[in-house]
Amino acid sequence: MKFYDEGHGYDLFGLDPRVVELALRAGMPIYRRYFRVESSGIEQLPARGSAILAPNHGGTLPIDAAMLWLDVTSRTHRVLRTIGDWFIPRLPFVSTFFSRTGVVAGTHANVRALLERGELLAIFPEGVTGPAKPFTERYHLQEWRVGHAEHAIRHRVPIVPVAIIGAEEAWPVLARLPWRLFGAPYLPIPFTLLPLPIQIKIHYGTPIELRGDADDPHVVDAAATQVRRAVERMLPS
Amino acid sequence: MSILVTNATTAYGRALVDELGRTTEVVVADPEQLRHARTLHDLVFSKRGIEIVVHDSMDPNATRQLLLACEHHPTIRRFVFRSTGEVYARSSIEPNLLDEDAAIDYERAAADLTVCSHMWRMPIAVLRCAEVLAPGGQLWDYLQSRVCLRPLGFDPMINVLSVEDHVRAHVLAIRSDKCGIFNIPGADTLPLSRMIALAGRRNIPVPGPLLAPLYDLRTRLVGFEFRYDLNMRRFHFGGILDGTRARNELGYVAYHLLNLDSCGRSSSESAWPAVATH
Repeated sequence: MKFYDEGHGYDLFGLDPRVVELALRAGMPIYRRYFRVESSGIEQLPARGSAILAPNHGGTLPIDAAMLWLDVTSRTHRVLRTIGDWFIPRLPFVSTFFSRTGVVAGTHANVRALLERGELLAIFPEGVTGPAKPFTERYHLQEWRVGHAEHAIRHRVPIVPVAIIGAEEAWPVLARLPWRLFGAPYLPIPFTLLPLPIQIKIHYGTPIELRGDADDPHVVDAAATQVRRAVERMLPS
Repeated sequence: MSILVTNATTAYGRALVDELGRTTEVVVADPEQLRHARTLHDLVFSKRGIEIVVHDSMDPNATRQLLLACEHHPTIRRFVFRSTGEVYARSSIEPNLLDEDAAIDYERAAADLTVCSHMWRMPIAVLRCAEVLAPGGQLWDYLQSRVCLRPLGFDPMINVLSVEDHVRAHVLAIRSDKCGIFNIPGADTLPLSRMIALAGRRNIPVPGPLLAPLYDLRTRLVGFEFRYDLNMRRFHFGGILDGTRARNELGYVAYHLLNLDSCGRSSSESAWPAVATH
């Protein structure tokens, strides 16, 4: 497993390969037996060098992100660096566990640093609007942010559109309480105590090479729309 | 050529003076001389042949006076200011890797920004250094205690600088003609809990809101200088200095890992020993 050790067994962002191994061991039975994850097209991911995975997002808690992380990390032996929302570092315990497994807070400087190191990133362009949507809106892409497209153009890295199907039904949201604990935008109340054992399917699309001026908002918007359409084509209508 | 060094009271200040003194005449200022405009002016102008000033002070007024004196000096051609990475704002919305354009915590950056505002007037290099693990530093004081309390649920990445790398960064900045702001990270980047363990201290996580009053009480009872309120944000969110610019323009690469394993409880005036990695 490729890993930029800063001298004490951790990378700059706190990734610890021992915790990655433990998380894989603990998570793979859930991945295999509970959610029976099936994935196709993983050969679309580059064996080396940077790429940005752009999946859809939904569910009470990010089961989709966890299954994507397990799928990519276990099958490619590259730790997927998931880009989390800005409130993640404020969550006690969660922030530490996430940083040890490769999750990095979503700032431009962090993304730039990871891309310059040749890492494989997952950016959920919907952000928190994905999990916040009602069950009836599942697989309808919400606000589609453009940061992933801007970074892909600027750093000349491909974007791999990804569709994750099943996670949005596995743990739907019953209600969202307006309590901003630790800076989270709301407190989700799940429909069921535990996620339902619904099969999750992950499809990796054909990588998209984006070119143009990363400082031109029209170019970036058009590139993000291109990625959004590619994800939408793989989702159930 | 002479070099004026304005702070040789710290472990890293003395090490810098020793290193520079091998090849150059070094004039060491008494901190008292920096407090008044008259004595400061006399200090700068009484010695002939001062070409470089290495300044280390968090006092913005003394810094401004010194800059004004240097600007009018006939031979001073370069000003190197030792700043600190603590000038950067640390929060959940700031990046883990802080480059020179990262957001500033203005309450802590008065002297730093005073120097930056003079950059168009004379050649200036500002070195924003990671914390040197040496007496006088907050982390040094924190690790002197047998029991180190840290915020429950948080274990941020911390970067520390050895005295050797600190000296080398200054020597490179003195010799270079490059101007601007340069982050100077150390070779050690590790979680706070790991640093406490390597220092042979006991690590006890405590709910965050209790830490400031507990350390305040400790300061009153025992007299330690560590203040949790000054370190709260980095003990939650970390923040590592990005040394890319210093590497590309000054040729600075940190390579002295601190020998944290060999450090017992220490009250000595020397900094913790470092080992060169290559």
